[in-house]
Amino acid sequence: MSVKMEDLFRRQLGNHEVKPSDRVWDRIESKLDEREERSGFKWYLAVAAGVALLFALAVIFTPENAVIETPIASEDSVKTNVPTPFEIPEVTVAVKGEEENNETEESTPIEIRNNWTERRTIAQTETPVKRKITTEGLGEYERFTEGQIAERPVAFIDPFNQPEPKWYVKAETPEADTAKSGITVAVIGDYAKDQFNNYIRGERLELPKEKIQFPAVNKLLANINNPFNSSEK
Amino acid sequence: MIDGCRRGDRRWQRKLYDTHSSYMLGVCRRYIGDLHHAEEVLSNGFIKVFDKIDQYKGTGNLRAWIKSIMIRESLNFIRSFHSDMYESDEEVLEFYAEEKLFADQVQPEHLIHLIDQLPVGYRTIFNMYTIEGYSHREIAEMLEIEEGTSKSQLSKARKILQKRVIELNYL
Repeated sequence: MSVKMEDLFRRQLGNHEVKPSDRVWDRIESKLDEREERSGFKWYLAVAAGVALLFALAVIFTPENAVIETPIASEDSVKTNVPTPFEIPEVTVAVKGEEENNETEESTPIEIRNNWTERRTIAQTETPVKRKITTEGLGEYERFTEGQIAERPVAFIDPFNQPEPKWYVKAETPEADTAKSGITVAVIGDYAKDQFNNYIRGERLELPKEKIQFPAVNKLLANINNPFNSSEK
Repeated sequence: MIDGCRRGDRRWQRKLYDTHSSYMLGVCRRYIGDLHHAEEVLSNGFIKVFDKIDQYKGTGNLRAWIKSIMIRESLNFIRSFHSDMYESDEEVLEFYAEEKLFADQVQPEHLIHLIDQLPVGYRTIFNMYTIEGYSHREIAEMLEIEEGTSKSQLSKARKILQKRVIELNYL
């Protein structure tokens, strides 16, 4: 009897279904949306908290007397005073008739007079030691104690009034090169001069007809760099 | 569908809900005496389902897994209303006058009506033991009561229902 009663309930209620009203899903959906928004908010909070924590740790673990060093002197302290590099001199190239020959033209070479100098002031470095460094061929410069601003140029380079550089090898004359290689060789300066004249006259520029001979230059820059590098020590 | 729910895709969640909601409301309704509260439990239960869908291994029966969540949710709801229901020995004071039926006319609604009129503790344990098929030990664990309490409440529920079923000619 009792078993039958239980069977009745089990049979009837075991798979009993009741259709929920529509508002049940609405409630679920709105709660899920709300939760997603809230979890997003928490995510931002967590990031903000992490940043704040890092900042706090940085403040705590930084020694009080630690000073952030700026190894590079500020721009104001290094005054670079370069005048207009090439003041093209008043070149008076007489416009000559085409019937005139080239010898007269070459007899009046264009003289480029250049008078620019470089004045560079180095001051307010962080090292309080005053040092004087003399470099062969590059003049002198000094390092000043902190806070002192040099008013006179400490490096004075006059590129047109320098002792003969050691690393510069004079180019051989075009004639010698031509004789050696068998190919007609022109110095780049001559070609440039021709083109410059063409430009002044308003004529077309020409491609070089001959093999251009560039001046041989020792590219070893250690002579220039070394004094600066050694001063860092 | 489960993968869609894991991604939090609302359309797949809706599909899962549509598939199982009617059955689950039937379960909740057996535990909770009125439909409105049962629907509330149902919605909370489904939110738990979507939250915990990652924990579903995919090997077992999905419906059984959801059902266990719904039962747990129903028990939490009941507990919040009746704190000492399993210990109380209240007797059923009166039953509504039921219409007598022939056995083949009996509908689930009639039986639910009978269960509704049981004291909460009797109803819960009768549901869990007879319909869900939990053992007394499992019931004792889930409700945090003694196994003996579960047994005694069940026998009282059975006695009452037995009497009513015969009175109303449901068998």
